[in-house]
Amino acid sequence: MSRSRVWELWRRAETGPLCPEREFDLKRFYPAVKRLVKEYDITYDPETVIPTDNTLIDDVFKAGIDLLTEVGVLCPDTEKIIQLEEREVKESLATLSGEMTVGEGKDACLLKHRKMEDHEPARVFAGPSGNPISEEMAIPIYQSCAQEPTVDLLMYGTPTTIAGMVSKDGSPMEMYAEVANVRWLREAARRAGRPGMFIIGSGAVGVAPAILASLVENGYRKTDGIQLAGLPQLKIPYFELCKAEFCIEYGCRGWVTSPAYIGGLPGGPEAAAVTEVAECIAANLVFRTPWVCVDIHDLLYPPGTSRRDVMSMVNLVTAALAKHTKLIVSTLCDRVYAGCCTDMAFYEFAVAALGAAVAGGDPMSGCCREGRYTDYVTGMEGRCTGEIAKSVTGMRRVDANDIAKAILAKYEDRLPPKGKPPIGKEFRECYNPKTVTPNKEYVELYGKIKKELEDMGISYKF
Amino acid sequence: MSKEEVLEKLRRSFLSYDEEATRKAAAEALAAGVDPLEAVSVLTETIRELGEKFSKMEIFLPDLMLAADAMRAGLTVLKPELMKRKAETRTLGKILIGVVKGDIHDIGKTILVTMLEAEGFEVIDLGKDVPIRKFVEEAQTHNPDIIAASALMTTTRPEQRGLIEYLKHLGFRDKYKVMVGGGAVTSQYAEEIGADGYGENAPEAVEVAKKLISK
Repeated sequence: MSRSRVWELWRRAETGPLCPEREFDLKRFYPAVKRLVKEYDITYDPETVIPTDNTLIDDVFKAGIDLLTEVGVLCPDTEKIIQLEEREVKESLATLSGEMTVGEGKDACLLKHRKMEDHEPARVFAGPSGNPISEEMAIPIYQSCAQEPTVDLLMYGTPTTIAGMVSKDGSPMEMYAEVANVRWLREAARRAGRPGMFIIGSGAVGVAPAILASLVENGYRKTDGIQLAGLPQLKIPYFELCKAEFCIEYGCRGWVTSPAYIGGLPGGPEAAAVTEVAECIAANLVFRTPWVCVDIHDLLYPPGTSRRDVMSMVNLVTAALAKHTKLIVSTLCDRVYAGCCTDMAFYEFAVAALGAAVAGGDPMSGCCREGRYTDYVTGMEGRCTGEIAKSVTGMRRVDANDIAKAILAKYEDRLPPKGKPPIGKEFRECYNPKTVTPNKEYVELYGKIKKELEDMGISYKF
Repeated sequence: MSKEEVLEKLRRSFLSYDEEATRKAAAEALAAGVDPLEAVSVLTETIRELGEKFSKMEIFLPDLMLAADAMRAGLTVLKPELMKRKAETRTLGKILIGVVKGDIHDIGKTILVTMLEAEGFEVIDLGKDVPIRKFVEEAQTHNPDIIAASALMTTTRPEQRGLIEYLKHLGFRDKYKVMVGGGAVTSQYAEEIGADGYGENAPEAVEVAKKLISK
């Protein structure tokens, strides 16, 4: 996008129609999304976890575009609306190449826009996904993810302490923690024999730490990426636009997550799907990046992402973007309810990986215990996600849907509030942190689950 | 119109989430000689029903937010009359709530505010990015039963600990119950920093608030 176009969007954030946030939410956004869901007759069928109805996929996409062009994007700092015209949206999508190289040297990775039932294998993220990790376990955790052969991209965590001090927003500890964090990521990739591996970071910190961590020696490279985020719903704050501006000037990749909440401001699952399409298209236009992430949560039981309605809507949005754009789409079903080293966590990651890969996205394995607890992440979840995502290339959606439902049946009764997911183990309880290898119990459990999934219809290539 | 009809009109106006219609229906109820306490009860009972529907996902967050706005509109008409008669509306308790400094993720706090209001709590919402000092100053002004602080990020949750320490330092710790919550917070962490209550999600937080008030 040309600089003049960027300036034009900033200008709109300053001079667009004034709209206080609550008015934007309740009087502008909510009635519009409610009406569009009705107009397009979009309905959620709990039996469809991976979408098979192409008309539904088309309608969700069209409704998302209508929503974005009707409602616009609110800049919460100025409480002004950045209005977007359909022509601008279409132009922005039409200029996408559908390809992007990340990482460097022998570890460079070509990310490609994927289609539904694509025969090209998905690219797989692994790592704590912004969730808490201890400084003691940071390198072994990152290494456990980076050394998995089916993992392509390494995702950051957030250190809870640095040099024993609490890493707190806006403090020098946060600045230093971010610098340390990127060096831990880099060291972990090096120890895994992948020194040029793509790293994404700086999502859960302020603008200054993100910039500092890129400018220091062994910091984020121009071949790495920074996480950018919108706020629910259809809101983009200035500090995130500052990070986006840094990405452009520095030359690194911006990767955007803008979550939609089922039961939240959009309404039901269908409305959350329409909203998330709009969020992803807005991200492309306003953040100027071809790389977006489909991110949907259940409002009452966040941040876990493995509920049926959440996954179904993530897959529907992924399919809509896969069919109608050339965006590079990743999916953020990355926070499971169960702890590491449990059957339930493997099932939860398995459905997410299967759905994302078949719907046309790149899946991400993230944290166990919803990312609330420190060090509940290991490379084994990356292995589970990667091996499935790369094995189901070309699988028909209808077949994948049957498998997804069979896996869901293995754990849905254990989801909160009625069920109690197993706590499992944290990293140091199921990995040897010195050798960075999973213990026997964990390996055997994975083998058992893999066999079960094979019996359900996944033909593993690994 | 009979008293029942007047109150039913108030209920229906409220259920349409129409602020102006609710205000008008409340005024009509007073003009018809309805006891303002009865009119307030219609609003509080109805919003409680809506809260239950929300926790079953039969209605959604914006519906509850619109209902809260309509309720406030109705109360602006009914409350002066209650005060004239020196009658008091009963609330479950007063809660001062905000998202801590450095954190602008307020969707969880917004749900909790609306659910608490629906349950009959009086809520003072400080919004997002709230410094510790502001929590304390507002607490001194409003004298709440509970101070609730939300944090989504690992790097912002230390503010919750800071709030508790600040209250202790000023000698106010025993004056208020402190609740914490948010995506980055666990029951373990809440206990570690000395909070009185923690809710993993909004419905749970409402129950915790009720328990804290009844203690």
